[in-house]
Amino acid sequence: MSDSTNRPTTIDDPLTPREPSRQRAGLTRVGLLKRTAAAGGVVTAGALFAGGLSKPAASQPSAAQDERVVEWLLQVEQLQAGFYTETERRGALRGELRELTERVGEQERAHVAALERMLGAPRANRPAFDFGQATSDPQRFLAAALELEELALAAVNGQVPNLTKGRILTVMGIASVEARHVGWLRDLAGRNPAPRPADVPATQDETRAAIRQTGFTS
Amino acid sequence: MDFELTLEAVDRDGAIAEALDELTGGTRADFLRKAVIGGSATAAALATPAVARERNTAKDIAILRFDLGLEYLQAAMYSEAERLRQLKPRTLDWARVVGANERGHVRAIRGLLGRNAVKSPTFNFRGVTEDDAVFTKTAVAFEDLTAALLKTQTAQVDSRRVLAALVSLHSVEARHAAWIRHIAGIVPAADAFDEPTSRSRVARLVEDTNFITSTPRTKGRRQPRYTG
Repeated sequence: MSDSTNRPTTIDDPLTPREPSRQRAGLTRVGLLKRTAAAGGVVTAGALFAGGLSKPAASQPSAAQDERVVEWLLQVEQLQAGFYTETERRGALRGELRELTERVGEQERAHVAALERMLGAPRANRPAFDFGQATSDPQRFLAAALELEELALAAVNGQVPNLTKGRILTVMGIASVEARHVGWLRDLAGRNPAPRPADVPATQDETRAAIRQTGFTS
Repeated sequence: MDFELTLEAVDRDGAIAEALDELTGGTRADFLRKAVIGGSATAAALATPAVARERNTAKDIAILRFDLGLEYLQAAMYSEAERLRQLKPRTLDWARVVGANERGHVRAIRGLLGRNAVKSPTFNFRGVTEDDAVFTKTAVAFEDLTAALLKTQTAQVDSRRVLAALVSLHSVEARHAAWIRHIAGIVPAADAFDEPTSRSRVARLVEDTNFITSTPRTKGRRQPRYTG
């Protein structure tokens, strides 16, 4: 099935009763995502799809590398949490999109909190974003949410092989939920939720470029 | 210190880039940016002989074989549903797409196992593939379960090559789970963190379904072909 399959969208479908969201992330003006120095080791898609790490990797998993990876994933999760939190605050969406915003936003904030806990302390600097109309216009919201979820999933998948065994389960627990968000959003948008048998992971550089292209971090 | 591991750092003789160009008819950069990548091409890449060349540890073989059994089961169930065409349109659509993905997973894992791959058992789905409500419920259970199992397995494997492959399959199972849940009208992402599950629990649940009617003998040297 191609991506353009005509399936009716189901934006107004009622789901199960939603739980009210409690948290609100306090976002302050510091362009953290522009501070791109925190580099995690990266396994390229090329390495995966053409035979794996047959050559010695430049960086074997270690506690120090875990920290760099977690710092990097924290930035990606903060972007997502910021997006849904602002959408919820503006309160312009209705129906299933509203429910999705509240539920997914709460989950992204939980991911931020978990990654901060792994680092030992909450980060003093929270990044600021400019989402424009993407947090109030339903169509723009859907397009932006899809893009953010896809890039977050690829970013998390790209880092799992760089982690020590102890961290893999936790981070895959996050990857799995990001993939569920992608599936949910794509079905809502009338697009094939799983167009490939294998997800292509992204390197840190590729994710940074994708984030820059959204224009949300200018 | 620079921790970024680039393709150039891994691919000193350019063999990886060359193989990708062959598969995608373009550069690696194009490969990654393409919005739609042919599913079969991706699975074929995973199953490429280069992948199977490295020798697996006994533990990795056991893990991959167990996962292969679960992928056989899903591929067979969804393929049968697609063939019988008794499901509602959205569910049938799901079975068609996800069935193709699971068949891709079978090929990918067989590729990783090389000559250690096992043949598919035979199945009897006992009407589940013809009843929309029962099929949906079963599919939700299988997809949630597979995503949970792959987490455990990924954390256990010895080889980083196998690990990277399982990561790429794992998130597709989670997409499947969210999609079938959405069709069923239940929350696609119920919790902030998805929990792993054990192999023994999966084995028990699969056994409870009574879907598996025979286990093939594995003594033959020839590789049986999967024909789901």
